Amino acid sequence: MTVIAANVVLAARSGDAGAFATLVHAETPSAYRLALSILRSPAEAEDAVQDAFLRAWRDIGSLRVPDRWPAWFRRLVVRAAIDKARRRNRVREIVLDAAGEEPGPVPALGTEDRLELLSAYDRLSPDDRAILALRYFADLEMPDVAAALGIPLGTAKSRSHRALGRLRAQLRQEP
Amino acid sequence: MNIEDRLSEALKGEVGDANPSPGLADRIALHVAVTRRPAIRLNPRIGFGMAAILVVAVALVPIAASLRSNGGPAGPATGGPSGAIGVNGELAHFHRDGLAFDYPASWHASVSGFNMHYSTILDFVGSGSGSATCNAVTPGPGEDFISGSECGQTLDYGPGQVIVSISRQYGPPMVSPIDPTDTSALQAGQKYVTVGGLPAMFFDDGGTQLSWIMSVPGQVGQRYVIQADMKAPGIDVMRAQVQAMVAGLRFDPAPAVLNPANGPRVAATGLGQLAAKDASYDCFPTIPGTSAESTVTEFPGYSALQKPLPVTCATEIRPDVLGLWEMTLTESWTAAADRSAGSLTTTVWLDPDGTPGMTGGGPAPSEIPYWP
Repeated sequence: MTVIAANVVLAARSGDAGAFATLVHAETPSAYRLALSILRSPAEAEDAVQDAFLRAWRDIGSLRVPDRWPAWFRRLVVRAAIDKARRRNRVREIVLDAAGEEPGPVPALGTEDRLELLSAYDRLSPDDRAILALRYFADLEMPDVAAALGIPLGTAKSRSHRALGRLRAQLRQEP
Repeated sequence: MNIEDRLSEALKGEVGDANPSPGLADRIALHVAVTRRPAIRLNPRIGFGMAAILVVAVALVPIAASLRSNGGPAGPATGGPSGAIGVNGELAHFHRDGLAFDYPASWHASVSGFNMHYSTILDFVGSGSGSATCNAVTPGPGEDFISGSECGQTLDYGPGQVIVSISRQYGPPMVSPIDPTDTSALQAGQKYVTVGGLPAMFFDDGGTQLSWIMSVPGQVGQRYVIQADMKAPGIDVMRAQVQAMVAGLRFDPAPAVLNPANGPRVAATGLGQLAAKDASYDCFPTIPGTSAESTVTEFPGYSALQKPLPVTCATEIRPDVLGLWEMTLTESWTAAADRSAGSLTTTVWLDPDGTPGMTGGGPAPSEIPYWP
């Protein structure tokens, strides 16, 4: 997320729509990319960003410390993206429980295999994609991933491990 | 390269340079700027149809009438479903924070005056019980929590029990007074009703949940929320008890009745305070019912326009049922070679003495000329 002056957040929190518009313009590009990394659909990503901002406008009063705006808003974006992905309802169940599984051999991935990897990624659940996107697209450290998802650090670590396992499993199921 | 690195490379290759469609931020900012402050969300669920609601309402009329006739703890309430009001018809009385109503004496109150973030639980009443707690949150290294504590309420009610929470909600963001003509403010399953003589938003899931949201008389941006949750068996009786309780609710003190003759003085006071902080209010005449020609470079709450726009600014003011002043400020413009005709309305709610409390956007114009 973009660096935002605390006074802008404070003004937006007090109901200043102009200040909130400043936040919207500053945050939209990075919020869109984060949503897109989870949803993989430009139209849905834009919808998720709008949902997140409307939610932020409604709830910004609960943001007591302006410095926490980036993490707070990131959480709203991730939540909006996950909600949108769930509504899409096209994720298929992955039968394999990869949680306790040792990392197995992964098919070699060249440049031409990017689509294959992303295809496998697309078949993961929205929650799995969200945690992987936060970690490996947004490059957040695990405590920040946990904060963005609103879950304990230990839970974030285990979910990330499971999500990677399921991604490996999907790759092995590729035709 | 391990799978983590490959995923990172793949996602960044696909998404890293992506940009939203041009104008997305503008559209969102415009949407927010013209959106009325949203209502409090209450987990609304689609309820039964209007017919079912009307049937219940009709059945409750005798009960409500009986309750209204009681000024406080009262004698037997008769009529309606058998035993609908309470054991032996005895009532207890709630009178706090501007709200007064009767409820079955067989119910008990669980807590009162618990302050949460921007909300005060005035009481839980019912055959079940409720509690509200706030727990301190200690952020760890690198962890971002939105506040130093997290608050929540716990409802404890079993089969055949009901629990009603009565709370008072504050901003920010502040919410505009409930306007029964604004259907866009209703969420799924909500409708407008009248409670204590004032408009309220009512939600009925047709079974186990009822809720009412009411503006707080004389206060800008505050609302009362009454929400009832219940579990079978005995749903019909409990619903009747709760609806009778709310039907007999009154605001105490009653909303102030403002004298329209004071409107010009209040408008001048309010506009003076607004213009002192925001030059976009300068164009509005301080005499209600009049208009003035002006040229503006921005509208209240909006970004600056790309170039000046000639407008006609008009001011109106009227007292509302909550004991507040509602001032309507309209800027209208004519068509020209590079713009269509249009208007923009800003509503400002003022305290009885003219102090601006909050500003709300009016309906979105189809187009704002010279929008940046």
